[in-house]
Amino acid sequence: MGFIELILATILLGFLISLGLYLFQNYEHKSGKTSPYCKPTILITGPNNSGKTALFFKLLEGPFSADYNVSTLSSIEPNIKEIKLPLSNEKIGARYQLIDYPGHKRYISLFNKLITEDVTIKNIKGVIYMIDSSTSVLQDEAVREIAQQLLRLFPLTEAKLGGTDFLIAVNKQDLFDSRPVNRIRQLLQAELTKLILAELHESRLHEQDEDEDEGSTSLRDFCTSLMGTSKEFTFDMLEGNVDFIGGSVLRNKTDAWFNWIDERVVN
Amino acid sequence: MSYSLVLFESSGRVVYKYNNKISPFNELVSNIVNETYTELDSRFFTFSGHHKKFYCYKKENIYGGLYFDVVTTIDNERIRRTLLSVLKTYEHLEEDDSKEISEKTKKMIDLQFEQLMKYNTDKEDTAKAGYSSEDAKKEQGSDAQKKSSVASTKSKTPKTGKKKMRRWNNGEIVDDNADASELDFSKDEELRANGGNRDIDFDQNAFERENDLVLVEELKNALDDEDEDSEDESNSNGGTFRRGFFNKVMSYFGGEVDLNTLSKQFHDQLITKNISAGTSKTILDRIQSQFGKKKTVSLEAFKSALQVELTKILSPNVSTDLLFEIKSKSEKGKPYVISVVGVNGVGKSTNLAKLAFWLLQNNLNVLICACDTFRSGAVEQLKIHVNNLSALNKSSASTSKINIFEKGYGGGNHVVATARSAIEHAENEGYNVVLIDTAGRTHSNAKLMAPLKKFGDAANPDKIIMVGEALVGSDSVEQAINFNNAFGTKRNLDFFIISKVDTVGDMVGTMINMVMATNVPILFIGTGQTYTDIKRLSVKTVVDMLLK
Repeated sequence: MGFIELILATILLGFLISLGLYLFQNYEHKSGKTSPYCKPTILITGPNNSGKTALFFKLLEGPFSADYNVSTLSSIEPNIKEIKLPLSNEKIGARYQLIDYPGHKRYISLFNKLITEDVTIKNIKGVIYMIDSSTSVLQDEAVREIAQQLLRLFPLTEAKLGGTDFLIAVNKQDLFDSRPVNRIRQLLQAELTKLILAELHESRLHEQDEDEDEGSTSLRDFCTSLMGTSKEFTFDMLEGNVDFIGGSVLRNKTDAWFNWIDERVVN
Repeated sequence: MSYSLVLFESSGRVVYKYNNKISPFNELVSNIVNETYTELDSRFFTFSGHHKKFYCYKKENIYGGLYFDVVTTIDNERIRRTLLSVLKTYEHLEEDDSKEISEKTKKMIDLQFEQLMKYNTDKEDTAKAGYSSEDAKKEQGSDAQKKSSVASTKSKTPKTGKKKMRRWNNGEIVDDNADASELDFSKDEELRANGGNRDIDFDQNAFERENDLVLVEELKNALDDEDEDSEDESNSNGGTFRRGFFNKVMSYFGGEVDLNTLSKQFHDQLITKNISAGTSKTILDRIQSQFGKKKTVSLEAFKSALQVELTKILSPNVSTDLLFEIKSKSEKGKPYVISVVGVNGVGKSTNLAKLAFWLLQNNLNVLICACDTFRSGAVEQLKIHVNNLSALNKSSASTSKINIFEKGYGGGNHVVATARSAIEHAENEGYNVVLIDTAGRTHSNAKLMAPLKKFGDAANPDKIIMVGEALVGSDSVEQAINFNNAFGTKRNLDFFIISKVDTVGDMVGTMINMVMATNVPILFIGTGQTYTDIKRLSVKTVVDMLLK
């Protein structure tokens, strides 16, 4: 073997080693970044005490058994489990991730991080937003809070092409003082209109946030683009469908919700 | 009197309930989430609300909660023991992930709980004067109805002859039950070997009558088995250096690292970010307890747990939508009163002016009330701010107005009088917001802090905001606590404004110190010299800075 071949072989070897190292490091870097939660997801969220966890366990453990019931308290941690969907046809058995996120205010930043960075919006196949429909709970204050939460969610979920589908699951329809589904839809639309107009015309502190808090600047942009010239917000303006369906987890009136979930999965 | 016991998972699923009263426990959970409870022990905490008292013991993923709707006389230690033994019973018997709790487990837990309640009623009957372990036992023995007894008061008394004598007190039973008592004795031996720190002893004789021996045996096994339990394992010092080196190498490859080493490492990091040593220790202890019995974790996992914890701490647990609150109060024709307090020179007046500018831009009429009637020049300083602001306001097309309300300087009741007449004036003249500036005061001087309560009671501001500067180090904890307590038991601070954030770079630990100490959320941060340099807090940015 001549001198030149030896040099060539050395250069080749050196090149291969550096390539290998580069790939190795890059791989490490990437594997550190992808979150274990980055999977197709059905998300259950909503205010405290609206029945999220009850629905979560019902979906997992006994979607069609009439007497399945589990007693729950407010969750301290989010529940994340794998579920096979669609519910009506076990043979297909596509794997989905079911997330039940508690409604504590303290967790809002964590929630945003989870859905935008870990799960990522494009993986969210549908959002089930649970509402307690009893009049004693659904007062002005509560309606406002729900509207605020929805308004925080919409800019995130609408970022995806075609938007994300929402199911507003109006729970506890079995209670004697529960409000009708249509009425709740109207209430929320009115409240959202108020909030969006306020966002557009009033608070200017957000403008200075720039890099500090991109969320709120994009909220403003979102409102502008959403409202266009119209004076009133309706859920039809969103790209994703928003369905209001009444039901009750405790009384097993959840079939319509399950159908909704199945539709998201099949399509 | 009503009481209840539940065992629940952090997922929210209730695995055991004593009766159907589980809704009160939602309050307990919200307190756990907001960390407004009183800690009695690292895993045992209590919370008392309006006619309610909760106790909670946390064991890994399972919480045991106890609720009373009246004041109880049971001592904390007894409750702690009962909750712990209940949790252990549950854990031991429900190892298989079955959905339904077995009848047997339920029965056992019922027993223990009833025992505790019975003890409570018994105790009120008998003389309270320092009952010895023997007294307690005798009393239990005499009660034939009793099903079981979780006698635990004698933890510190050495178990020797005394204990046997106690058993003989029960007379008849001993003979037909020699077998069981032998077992019991062996357990004692074992406990003594363990340092006898957790002995839950059962009056088996009473059980025998109920033909429940099997149950008891099993319960005893359950409790024995897991006696090693947690608390603190002493770390062997041997080969620390080698382990340290090994850990370092492992951590580069994303492997598992010793938990304590990691904790120390992050402790140092947090301290360099201006977090006080005590606060940092509390945070890291919480994270360590999250990992439970695991001794090693990966760097990634630890870091993300810390990230979650810091995010939770900084996220406000109340609505921070001031504008909405101001507007809804204006609709009733009342001005919204905000007062700022703080130590000297932290930027109370400056941030007040910034706040005023923001409100003006939102078309709200602002009245600034000069209640710093102590420092010379304070009123004049505010006047200059008001002049500047109204000039700025005229140049923009805003229709709102700003003015100052001042009554000069003076001591004593002058402050309260000024504040009161300012609010009255604002109501008459159609101002939406009254911003009250107060004199700066040293938080450790009780003589200066005392007038705050009087001021708070008289002016009754809708929001009391404390301005704290990001520059202070561990003193910030004291500052926040003292100011938070200055307004009496019924009133607390509502928000913080952290000023001078632009001067500290990424050493933003002061925020964590103050929020951790008081559970008061941060409303805004001050980041510069101009009127527009006030920003909303971005939790994510701050957490990233702390972990950099």
